[in-house]
Amino acid sequence: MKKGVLLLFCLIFAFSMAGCSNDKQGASGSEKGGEVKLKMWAHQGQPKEVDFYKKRIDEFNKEHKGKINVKLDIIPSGTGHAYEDKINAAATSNGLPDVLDMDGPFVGNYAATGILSPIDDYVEKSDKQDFAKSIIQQGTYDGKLYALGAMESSIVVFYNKKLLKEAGIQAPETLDKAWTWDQFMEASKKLTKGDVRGLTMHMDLGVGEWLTYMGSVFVWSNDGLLLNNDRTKAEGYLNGPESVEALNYVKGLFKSKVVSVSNGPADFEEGKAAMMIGGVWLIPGFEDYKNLDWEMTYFPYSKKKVSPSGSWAFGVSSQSQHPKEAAEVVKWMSNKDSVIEISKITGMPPARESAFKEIKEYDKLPKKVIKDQVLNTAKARPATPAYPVLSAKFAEAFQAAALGQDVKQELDKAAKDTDRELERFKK
Amino acid sequence: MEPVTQKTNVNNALPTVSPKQRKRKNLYTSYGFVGPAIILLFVFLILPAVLALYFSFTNYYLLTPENTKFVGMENYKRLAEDSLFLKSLGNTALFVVIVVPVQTLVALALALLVNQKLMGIKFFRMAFFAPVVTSMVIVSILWTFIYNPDNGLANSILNIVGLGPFQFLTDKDQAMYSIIFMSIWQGAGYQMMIFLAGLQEIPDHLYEAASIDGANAWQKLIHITIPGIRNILVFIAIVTMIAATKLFIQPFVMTQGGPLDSTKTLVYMVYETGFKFRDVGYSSAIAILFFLIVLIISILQRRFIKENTE
Repeated sequence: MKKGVLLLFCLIFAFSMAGCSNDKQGASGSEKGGEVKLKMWAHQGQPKEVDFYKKRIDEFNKEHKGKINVKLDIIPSGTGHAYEDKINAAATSNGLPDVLDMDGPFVGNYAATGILSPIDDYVEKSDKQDFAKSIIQQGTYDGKLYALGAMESSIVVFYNKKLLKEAGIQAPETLDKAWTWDQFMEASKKLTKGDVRGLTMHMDLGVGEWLTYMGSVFVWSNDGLLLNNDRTKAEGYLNGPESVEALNYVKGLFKSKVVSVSNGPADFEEGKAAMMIGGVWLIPGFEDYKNLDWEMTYFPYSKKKVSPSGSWAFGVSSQSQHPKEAAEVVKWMSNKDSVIEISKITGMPPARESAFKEIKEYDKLPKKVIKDQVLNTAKARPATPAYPVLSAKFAEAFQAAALGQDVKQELDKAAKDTDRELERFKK
Repeated sequence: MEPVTQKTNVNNALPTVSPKQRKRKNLYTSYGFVGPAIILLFVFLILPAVLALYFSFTNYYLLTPENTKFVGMENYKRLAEDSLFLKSLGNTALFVVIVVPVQTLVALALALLVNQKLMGIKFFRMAFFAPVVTSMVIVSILWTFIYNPDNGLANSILNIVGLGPFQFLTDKDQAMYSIIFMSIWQGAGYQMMIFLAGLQEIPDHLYEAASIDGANAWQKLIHITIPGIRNILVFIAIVTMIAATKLFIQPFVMTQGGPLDSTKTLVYMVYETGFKFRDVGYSSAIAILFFLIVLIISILQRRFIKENTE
């Protein structure tokens, strides 16, 4: 009898272990009755964005009935790196879905580590040309295309019309009249009065991708680079004189108290800050603030006009048994219909030039600012396998600058850590 | 099954089973009970620990396990030069050194307060214990709002008594202390409950006798209460110490290790290096060193306490 109990325990244990492995989330594509079954992961963005993903995949399944069936899982992304952590864990346990959604700058890391399959063979050249250059740039690693997205993104300077009018400031309305750094600093200073600060930069978001996404623009605009052109070296670029000068400008903004590291998440919307360096995805949220009369202008520049770029994109996992069908899903999610629809829903700029032509609101202010930037000045963050380290270290240096630390010293540290990481991927 | 039930028939169970057989059966029973725990401990504790030790000598990159190579002591050499590691170690030490004594004393004080026989005292016991049963993640998010320098509750209250405003989590010199304060508030209720159980074990007649002898409240505390809960005090000091070294959730949710690494702890660094930067090899080396540090402190603490008891 006691042997029986022992056996029972062993059996229960064995079954529970087997249960774990049977329940594997990815373990891609199975075929049933000629229909290819695919799994797809998307991050949990804004609710409207999630609804769009679900609806679009439903439509895909209807259109490809009997051939391809996609099951979409929405994965919470949280404030930290929850979604990336999930991909990492799945990659090591052979549990990746066929199609996955990822933030643009991570494509390089995933491509270099063999998580993604190239999709060049499935995407036609003419189709590729319709995408904004920056979107192709972010999806390409080592000369091969790995990811395509439906959305672009940008950062603009939002401003409170009333407060600017009171201060007698006219914000630029065309790209060639965009503010220089000095003009921007001057305007910010003029707008800082009493309880109202001239500017907010969303430092409340913490040390995350935002600081790199926004901060790299200052470096590029000052003719600096995060990495050299082959993306093999950070020393002398990330901590080069142009980069140091750029972050010293940022340091100056904080030093002159026109902007604060402890700004609240809605300072601009509530009228506590006259201008905001903010992402275009914030626009739909402005509707909740009836008293806010806003407008936008271009990202200020130093030597070159540059704006940030990059957004979530779709790729095919290397663990997929059906890369061709999975690529169909990627193409579907980034085709013209998808691009136009998601742009209308989220307020994000479309990833395709042809889509810009169809959405008329981009022809006039305020949204013309976004179109001008996306099509003329957008630059993607470097596609490098060392991106996770580069981004985190640069963001820390940016925050350190805002907190008044020695910029050169912080960037030296960042460059050293990034170069060590790059070394790992050199063959 | 059948023969066994026959043998264990109540009337002649003892004579039919030889001592040797019984011994063997006992052995099976004990293995049966201990087995599942041992298997689980092996799979989820011992195996990962051994693997971590192994990985700490490799260059294991999370996403390319197939390229893993043995690199000898390289990760440990890098640790010796890593200023961030020293900083994390210092931050963790600061947290432990303040939290262990302060939290223990606060918990003891709370326990003494709620150990009185008053109307509605149960409400206070519950109130002090409530933060413990609330998820640390939720508590951390709430305190992030409380600590907001512009419109948070903490500055509003301090303002009334003429202090502040403080920057709290956004200032490199205040962030860690903000986390320490909040952690003590969250954790003290747990130790309070254990102290409370200990306090109620102390027989009343000791206090009565002391009263007859003319002892005041302070003398009763020092000569009756503290010796009465001595063992509990030791237990709590050790448990709090070990828990405090594992500080992770608060900086993860509230500050992400910042500003300027001022709240980066060892466990946070293990997470960041292993997951965010995918550098499992280096991350394992940090974890192993962390393990050794905690082990040494625990041994010292044990020895110190043993000497004291004898």
